[in-house]
Amino acid sequence: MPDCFHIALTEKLPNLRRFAMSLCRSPDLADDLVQITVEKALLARSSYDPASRIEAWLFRILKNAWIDMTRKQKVRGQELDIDEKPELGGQEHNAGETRLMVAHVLSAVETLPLEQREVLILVCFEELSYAEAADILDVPKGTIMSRLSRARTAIAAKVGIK
Amino acid sequence: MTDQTQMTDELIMAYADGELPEAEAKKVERAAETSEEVRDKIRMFKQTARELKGAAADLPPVPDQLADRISTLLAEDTGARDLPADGNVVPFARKAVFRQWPTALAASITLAIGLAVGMSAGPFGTPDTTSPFGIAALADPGIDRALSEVASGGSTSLDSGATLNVIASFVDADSTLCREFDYEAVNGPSIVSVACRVGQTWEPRIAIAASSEQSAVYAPASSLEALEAWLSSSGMGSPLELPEEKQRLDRIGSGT
Repeated sequence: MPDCFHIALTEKLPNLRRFAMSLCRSPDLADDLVQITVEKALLARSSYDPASRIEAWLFRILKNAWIDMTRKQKVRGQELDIDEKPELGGQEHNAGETRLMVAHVLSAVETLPLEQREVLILVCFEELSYAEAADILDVPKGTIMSRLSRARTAIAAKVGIK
Repeated sequence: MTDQTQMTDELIMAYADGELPEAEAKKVERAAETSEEVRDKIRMFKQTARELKGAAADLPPVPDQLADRISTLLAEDTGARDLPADGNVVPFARKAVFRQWPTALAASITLAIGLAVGMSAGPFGTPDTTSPFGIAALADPGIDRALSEVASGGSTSLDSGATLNVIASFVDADSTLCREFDYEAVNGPSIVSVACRVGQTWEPRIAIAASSEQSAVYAPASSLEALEAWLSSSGMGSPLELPEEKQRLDRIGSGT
């Protein structure tokens, strides 16, 4: 019998990986992060409230796993480079197959600071509400709004939206 | 007159995104009637939302390797969840349900050895396990720690370079925690073993040595049945559920 929870998890894998890539910008680390997220989700299955959107729950697990991962890396003295590195960002997108505007938008997203980028991905890519994003990132809704409006204003300037 | 100074970017954006309650949305609309700047910003935020949504449709697929890793996890989870909770169920019925044996391993088992309690097999990492039966692999000191930490279905790399996959946990007739695992050395045979927690260490109770992948020997499935038979004769009917296993491992971790 198909397991609905597994199906829902599997359907969200590309979204999880995209969010993971936006956080750590390394394909290998992003894969590890997605795997850890799935492991944790399977263990914590009973704590998932089916009334809420599963992606919000999964993104929160992923974000917390990422925090754990960076903390461990820092302890080991090999701090991960989560600073600006736009050239790594859009490398998975094939510019030849991507419409020009999409390519512009994606590369503009990559230039945003992490704290703006993660909000933008959750709200504008994943279409979560401000409240859901606030819960996932563990910041007040007002912070979500100020980061998001700065991110959107910056994107607009970069891709020429007036 | 509408107080335009209150029209922050955040508020205008929330309006454009449909995130404002009606009363506040009305305020933004009133401000937009008189202010071109507010109208421009509403347009800008709506358009960024549209463009970003368009860009989001270009969702890169998950790499095959990751997809494989995840389906293995899910298959293991399915196996673990399908198990009857009732320990009185005929143990053979669960065969192959929860085990995710590497195919090459399952197909190439050449030797099964029971380690009787009290034989010279001591705890992992002690010298007296190194050679009597030619399963020196079980002397790897990393095994002991991994068995105390890794959840069933999980894998870990040991300092020796070997990989240890934990298959399942059981409680034997005396309520001793036992764990079934396979150990893949860098060179040499893979070992499937069951070890039980005695005092402060894990003692191997049974081991099945599998030859390396290129072996031409075809192993009948009965090799695994031998392990099943051994498990059930030791009172280890069905594996522990993961939450219960976690509790038991946490107790080991905290030394209680």
